[in-house]
Formats: sequence, structure tokens, C-alpha cells
Amino acid sequence: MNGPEDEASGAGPEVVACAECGTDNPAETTFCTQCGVKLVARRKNVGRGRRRKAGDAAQRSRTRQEFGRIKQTVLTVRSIFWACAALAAGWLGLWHFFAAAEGLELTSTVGMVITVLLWGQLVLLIAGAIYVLRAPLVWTTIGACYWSLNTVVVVLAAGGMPGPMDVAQAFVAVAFWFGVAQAARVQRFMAEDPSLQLVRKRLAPEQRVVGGVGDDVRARRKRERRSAWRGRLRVLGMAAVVLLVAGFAIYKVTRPTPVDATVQTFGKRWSLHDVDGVCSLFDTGATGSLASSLREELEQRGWSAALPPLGDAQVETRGDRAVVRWPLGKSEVLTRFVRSRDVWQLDHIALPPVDAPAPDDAVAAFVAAWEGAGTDALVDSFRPASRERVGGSLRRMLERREWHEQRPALGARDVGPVRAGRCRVLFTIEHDELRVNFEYWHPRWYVVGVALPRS
Amino acid sequence: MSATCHRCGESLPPQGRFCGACGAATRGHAREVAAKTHREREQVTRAAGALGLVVLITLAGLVLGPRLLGERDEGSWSAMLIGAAAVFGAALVAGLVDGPLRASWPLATRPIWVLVALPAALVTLGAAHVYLGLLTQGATDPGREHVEATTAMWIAVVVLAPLGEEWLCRGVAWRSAVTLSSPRTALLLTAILFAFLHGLGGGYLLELPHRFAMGLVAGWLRWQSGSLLPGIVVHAVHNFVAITWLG
Repeated sequence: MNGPEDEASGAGPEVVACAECGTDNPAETTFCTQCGVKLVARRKNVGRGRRRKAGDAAQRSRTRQEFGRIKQTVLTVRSIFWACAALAAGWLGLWHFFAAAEGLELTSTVGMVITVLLWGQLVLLIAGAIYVLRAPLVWTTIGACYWSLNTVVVVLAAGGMPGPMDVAQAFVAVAFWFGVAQAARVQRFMAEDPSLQLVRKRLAPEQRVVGGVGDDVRARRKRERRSAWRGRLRVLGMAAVVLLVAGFAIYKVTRPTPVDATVQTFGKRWSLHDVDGVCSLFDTGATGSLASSLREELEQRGWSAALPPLGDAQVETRGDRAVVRWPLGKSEVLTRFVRSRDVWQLDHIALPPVDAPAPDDAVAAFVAAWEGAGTDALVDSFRPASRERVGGSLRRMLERREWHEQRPALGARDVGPVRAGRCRVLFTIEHDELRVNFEYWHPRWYVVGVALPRS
Repeated sequence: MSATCHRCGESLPPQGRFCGACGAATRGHAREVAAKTHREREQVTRAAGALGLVVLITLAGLVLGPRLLGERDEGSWSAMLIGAAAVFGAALVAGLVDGPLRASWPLATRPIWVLVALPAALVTLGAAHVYLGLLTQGATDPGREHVEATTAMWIAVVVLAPLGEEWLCRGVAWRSAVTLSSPRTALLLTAILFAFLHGLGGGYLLELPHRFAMGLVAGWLRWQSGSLLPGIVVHAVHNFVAITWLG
């Protein structure tokens, strides 16, 4: 009975199957025509659990060539890590030296932040220099991210206008990212061909002992698993440190400006009776509508020359707004600040109600002026600031009614309540009523408006 | 006439890539291998460049964003335009660096993945809700005032943000990271990027944990479905529910 081998040997030319790729090659060939491996040599290795190879012989040759060329990039990255670590150590030494020389408190918030950042930077860079040869991609990426962050923070610290050094730093960041590309390829080549190593480890002692292939393989796999876990933990730890340091730095750099400094400035200017200084804290400036309004309110209370002393500020900050209460006797001055473009500005100020006496004298004076001859005394009862405009208008209305010399007698009066320094008084006049508005401007009441009867 | 080996002169088999006598690669095969290596080198370099750009722009936005947006009202057209322009601009530039844009925008997938996206959105919402609840301990944030949802905010949050951020993270950055390493690394990296991207509005570090969780979910969907569409659906549903019911 003929077996398959007999049929094959009798039916056609003899072929040799490649142990690597399984291609059938003519018997007289020495090398596989598809993958280029030596056929005889491969036969000896069949069944020994060979590792995966990258493509064919030409591909492997090319890979080795490429690896030899680009591994220099990873070695350069390691050198950069060491150089940066040396620089970071220098900065750290300088920081501690100056802190000691100038007597700076390292336990203060700023001191602690700078110290932690500098130490974190040093640890990160030394770790990168040590581990970049074992995990090139991870550590080159960490280095690139670190340098990118560094570049952004430096440009920001420069006020947004990058100088030559910032451009150089950005160039290094870009170079780092292209180093990431080469590190990725190095790592890929190393995974494809285990004979390619950036660091050749020494043989462990148990490997030198002849303990059988199985034991050796098991021990090796165990070591590899442990090593892999250690590597993962290291990467996780380092990533956590990087994230913490970067996040803390970003948080500190981008933390919104507190309102305290502006509140202190307000309090100081108020205590120095610097009305212009207080007005300049408005977002519309010292000459805007808010400032004019504040000046009028101060004048109404008689505080233009000397502002009353305020108590300690109570600050309530809500996002971009802060409400500050300043005790003033039994009342309070309420100010509101808003943050715009990272600068706190005065948005609103509410002074305590005007402390005005009863307007009896002013009402009596108005009645006397009304019942007197001419209009001069009436016009004089208006506020000086509006006397010309409002008084002139009243004078023209009286002339139109021919009341400029003598006016009808006023009857009963109804004095309204005093609210916010204002009071309305109604007089009965010829079966109709005359409305007169009074306003208190320290130290006396003034007439601010007169509404004549309709007829 | 059959071809001969350039090294030993032996005749080569018609489809052979190596000489059977001396093992030398044929010229055609050597050129093919060289071209493949060159393509791979170029691809990896482009991917690293694109990823670097995305990281650099994200970091720059993280630091400069609050300053740029600080003077604008949340949800206003100007703030929306600045944020959208930054995200879409970053994705466009980085995507162009890393080859054809179409490749960073894969949408075709099986419909089942769009359905899977709906419960995934609930998972991300639940995670965010629990995290924010723990963070505030039931108290309202004194620094945050209730913001009425304007038309601009609806467009920005439910349409532009899912499209732009998914394109940037799960499109451009994902493609680059997978080219450089593996899908797992891409998943982790894009989730970190996604989390940091949300500090742009001034959320700082408080935004990181629940955004990172959402980045993991959207990244997993991108990995398994091979498409951006489920991630966009998750993102849009998440934002829609958050803005409608959770404020």
C-alpha cells in the first residue's frame, strides 16, 4: 500500500517545506524563496517554540538596520533627561540656597508649592533617564508632555509674548514629540525581534544552572510576569506623580485672583478720604457715571470732605462676584466687586440711608417764599446745582400764569414721610393741589421740584 | 526569459522573493521592503507630530482658556465660538498633520453600537452625578450661579461639543496613539486628554475624574465599534440630559 510520501516522491519533483513560513521549495534550494531563511538550519529548530519574527529575512535585515539607526534617538532622549535632571538639581540647589539666604519660609504656601514642584521635576527627570531605555515610548511621551507643559507655562509667565528662549523651548518640545515617534518604532522593533535590546541584562544565577528547559522557561515566564507588573506599577506611579505635579502647577497658575487685595485697597482709600481713589476702582473709571453717582451720594450725606470710618470688611465671594459689607455705626456700607479679565473692579456701592431731620423749617421757608412778593426767594430755595435750570423753569411757568408777583395763598399742607432723604409735601391751593418735592443735602433741605395745579 | 539573482546569477522562480541558492532578496522585494519601512516611518512620525500638537494645544488652552473666556458670560455666543473654534481648529490642524482628514472621522458601524451608546450615556451620567454629589455633599456650590440655557448653549453643548471633542480625542488623537502604540494606550491617553480638555472653561482639576470616566467609556466604544458615532451619541445624550434635568 502506497502512503502519501510514496505518492509524492513518485508523482513529481521533491520539495522541501520551509519551517518558518511553510512554503514548498524545490529540493535543490538552500534558502526559502518566500522568506529567505536557510532551509536546513530551520529544520533543526522546528518545535522549539520560536518567537514571532518580523516578516521575512529582508524585512528583518531592514529592521535591524533601522533599529541601529534610530536607537540613537532614544539614547539621545536619555541624555536629554540626564541633562534636564542636572539643570533641575541646579535650580533646586539655588532655590534652597536663596531661601536660606533670604530667610524665606519654605512652609508658606508659595514656598511649599515651589519646593514640591522643583523636587517633583527632579524626581521625574531622573526616573525618565533611568527607565527610558526599558520603556522608551512611555517615558519619551512623558518627557514630551512635561516639556510641552513647561513651554506653555513659560510662555504664559512671559506675558503671552514669546521671546527667543521660548521659541527655542517650543522647538525642543516639538523635537521631543518626534522623539516619541522614534521611540514608538524602537519599542515595536524590540517587540518584534527579541534579539534587539537597548539594554542587555545579565543572566540571572538560576539561568546558569542546568535545570531542564521546562523549569527554565517557567522561571523565566514568572520573572517576566513580575517584571511586567513592576513596570506597570512604576508607570502608573510615575503617571500619577506627573498628573499630580502638572495638575497642581496648572491649578496654581490658573487660580483666579482673590478679591482680598482690591478690598484692602478700597478700605485704605476710604480711610484716607481719597474719594477719587475709591471712584477709580469702578470699572467705568473715576469719571464714569458710577463715579459721578457716588460723588453725588457722598455730597448728599456731607461726606465729600471726610468719609466716616468703616469697620472690618465681611467678604462673601461667589464666583466672579464678591459682596463686601463694611459696618458703619448701626448701618453698613455694601460694596459689590466683579472680576473682569482677572481684575477685580468695583461694580456697585450702597451707602446707608441719609440721616435727615424733619423738613419743617424748609417747608415753612417755602411757604414764606411762596406768599412773599417776586420769585427770587422761591428760586433761592432750590439746590444750587439745579437752581438755574429748575428755578428758571419755575419762574417761566409762574410768569405764564401771571403769578410772578403775587401767588394764591396756600391752604392746608400734607407732609409725606421722609424716605432716603426725600419728602413730598402737598398744599391745597384754589380747590387744587400744589406738589413740592424736598431733598436733604447736608446740612439742609432743598426744593428739588414744584408741580403747579393744572388750571 | 526568467530573472536571475543579482548576487550569484542563479535563475529565480517566477513568484520568488529570495534567491534559493544564496538567500539574497530580489531587487523588487528589497524595494518593496524599503518602501514599506519608509511608509511606516512617515506614518509614525506624522502620528507623533499630530499627538504632540493635540497635547500642546490642549495644555495651552487649559492655561489660557480661562483668561480668554473669563470676561464672557457662560453660554454666550462669543464664548461658544471661541471654544468651538479652538477644538475644531486643533482637530483640523492635527488631523491634517496625520494624513487624510477622512481617516480621523470614521463613522461607519453596526447599528447595535448606537443602541449600546444609550445605556453607556446613562453610565457616564450616573458616574458624574455620584461624583459631583460626593464633591458637594448635597450643598449648592456658592461660586456657581444657575445659568439659563440659551440657544447658544444648546448648540454648543449638545451639537458642537460632541462633534468637536470626539473628533479631537477619539478621532485625531486616537488614530495617532494607535499608530504609535496600542488601542489600550490610546484609550488611556485619549481619556486623559479628554479630561484635561474640560478644564478649558475654568473647571480646573475638579473636572478631571468624571470627564476621565466618560472618556474611558467613549474610548471603549470607539475601540470596539471602530467608529466615532457611538461616542458622539453618548456625548450628546449625556450633555442633553445633564443640561435638561441636572442643570
